[in-house]
Amino acid sequence: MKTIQGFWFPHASARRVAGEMHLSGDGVSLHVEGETDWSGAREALSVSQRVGSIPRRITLPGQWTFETADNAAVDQWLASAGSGLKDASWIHRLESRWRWILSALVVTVMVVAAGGYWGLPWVSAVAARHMPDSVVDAVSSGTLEILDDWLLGPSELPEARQLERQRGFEALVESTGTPGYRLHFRRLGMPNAFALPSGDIIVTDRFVELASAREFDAVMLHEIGHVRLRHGMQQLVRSSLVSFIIAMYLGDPSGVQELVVALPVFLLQSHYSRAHEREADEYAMRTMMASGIDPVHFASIMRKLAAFHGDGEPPPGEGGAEPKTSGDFLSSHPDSGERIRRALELSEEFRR
Amino acid sequence: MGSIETGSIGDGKWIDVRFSGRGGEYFRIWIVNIFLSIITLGIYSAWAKVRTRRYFYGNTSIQGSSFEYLAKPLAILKGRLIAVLFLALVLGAGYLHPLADLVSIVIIALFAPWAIWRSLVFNARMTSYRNVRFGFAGKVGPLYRHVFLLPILPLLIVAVVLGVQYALGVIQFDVADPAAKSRTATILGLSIGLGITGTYLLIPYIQKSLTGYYLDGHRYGQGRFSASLATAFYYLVYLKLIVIGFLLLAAVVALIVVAQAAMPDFGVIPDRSGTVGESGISSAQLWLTTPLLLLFVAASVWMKAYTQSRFRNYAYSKLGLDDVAVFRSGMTVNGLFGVQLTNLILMVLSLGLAWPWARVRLTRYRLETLALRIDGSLDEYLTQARRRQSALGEEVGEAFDLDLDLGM
Repeated sequence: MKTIQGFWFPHASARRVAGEMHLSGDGVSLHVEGETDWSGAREALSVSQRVGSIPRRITLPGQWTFETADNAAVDQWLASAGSGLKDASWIHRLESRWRWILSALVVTVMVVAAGGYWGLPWVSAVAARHMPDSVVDAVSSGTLEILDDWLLGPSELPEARQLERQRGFEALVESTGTPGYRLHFRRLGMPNAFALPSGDIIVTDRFVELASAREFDAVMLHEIGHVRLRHGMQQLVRSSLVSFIIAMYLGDPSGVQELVVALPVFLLQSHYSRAHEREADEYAMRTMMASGIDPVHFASIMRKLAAFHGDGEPPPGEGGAEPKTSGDFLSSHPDSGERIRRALELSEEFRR
Repeated sequence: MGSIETGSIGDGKWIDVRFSGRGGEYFRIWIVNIFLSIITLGIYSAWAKVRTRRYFYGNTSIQGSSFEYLAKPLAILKGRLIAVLFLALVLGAGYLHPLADLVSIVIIALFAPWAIWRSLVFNARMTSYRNVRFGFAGKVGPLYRHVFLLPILPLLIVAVVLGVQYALGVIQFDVADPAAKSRTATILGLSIGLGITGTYLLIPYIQKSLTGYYLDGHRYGQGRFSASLATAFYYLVYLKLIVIGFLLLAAVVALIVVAQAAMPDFGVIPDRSGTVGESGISSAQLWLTTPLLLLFVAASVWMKAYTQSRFRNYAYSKLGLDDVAVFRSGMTVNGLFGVQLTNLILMVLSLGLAWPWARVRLTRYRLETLALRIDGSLDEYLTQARRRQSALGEEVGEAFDLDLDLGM
């Protein structure tokens, strides 16, 4: 026999009167001074599910509700009642054992980490691969025009030079069996080359001046790798997915979360971006080897670019000191020392 | 004691709202919710939603009586399944035909206000205090007006005006004449700028209207909530915010100028556009940019706290329930800022795991700055309300779980 204190609410009224309830193995009785005395079988009652320590409601349908804060007594009574009452308190039991909490925490953190590390790139790679070409073109249409308006100037290279590179590019695309790429010459303050998902590759004057014909090919293959592996589309799919998931899980109006997720999202994006660079490098160098170009040219253009960006002194020979590294986790590109080492490795493989 | 036990609150005193949730307790519910949602591939999330709401409602009390959330998880699951199916169908159709893309965007934009409205009705009906249910009697029309039509109205007007000008030959495309070309560019640029400015100018009005719609639409039993909000107040708050924002910006610019004078390398934007070149951020730049970034984050948290506290206090000061209850919210900008900023720090340091504590702290602050005053007997009022509400149906179908975030 257990006595619990609480409040009695008569049906169809908002009155609230203090009362007490006696719980025992086979029956329940309710006593409210000057109002009611009820006793009956526990099967007639329904008990609200426990959540944390919010008040429990014991209801006799159509008659009254009794509210109590004595969760422990109610739980004990329900447990001893055996099969008498339907009770789904196993969730509360999960929520109150530290062993389970810890397991849930570990599994959740692992799933989230694995999902971010492998799941998300995989899903976006599959989605990007199945994206119709019309969508890809629609996404990058107009991008070059915007870049021309805001960032890039018309090329000032001599026409002969442009033509020479254009021919080289066409020969490269022909020999590697990858048609559908267009080369554009533009002016920008730094040596650079980049590709749009549609297959438009933009090279800057400074870059053309810097790179030898073979080095130029190496970088073009790197850019073609980005396009073929649909890295741009993957990035688009991924960032949409990330925003969607965050909105789903933290969809509470507090205004804090946007700021909190900004940092991990930035770090994650940099991580993916570095992975893409490595993939494009790998693609470029494998294709070079297959068409008889030594990957050493990849290493040498990387050195030149690193030197331009002030990333340490480029050593002239092989095996010299590699350019110094910058914080890898913040960078959108893998550290150039690492990329050069890989190119030299493959170059040796190529020469054998 | 007797008066509390029989529940006759009132007699013209201010009654504080209490919140008794605890971060540690909610953490355990939260992590189990996420875990079970993951292993059931999202199905449990409907149950998780109900448990979370029950936890927060059950810990919110006025004069010792707590709120209740009565929704059945299955109704929420049903709503979610319908929404997912609907979105999948609409988006899938978008792949079949290029034009279908545009149509599906319009369909989704048309669906959203209706789903928000259904959620408002559902959640209000599933909330009760002292055995009396809340309700939402607002119609769906105003929601379409404020969420769908008004934000794009200025651009629509601009589009119509441009169309007329095109028909009259004032603006011309595909012409060689440079004068006509530059005139077209100027008119286009000005009009679009005007349209976007118009939308921004409407934001305070839209926010006021939505807040009014939300508050006026709610019922407690048959009791009506009402709030007469002045549009001018919302414009004034935003105006002050802009002034404060400009002052902050000026201070930051001054800081940068000073820093740049001291360190010539400072603030150089690292190259992130290249795909070939190395584009790391040098550590010197990182150390100098970080404090500035933190300052910027703190400033944006403060500005958000400013508008939220102002709007919330104002809306509650104008809110009444029939002629029985009035409300008061005593949020201060710095109080809310303190909670939000420490929450942010907690979240960053814990990689997001402190979310339950952050949410409990914010909820506590929001609720414990809230008070109400009952004129007359709440008991009598409640009993009347209880008697009259039985006329209303209790089933409202499925919920779509799209909350209206009013930023207050």
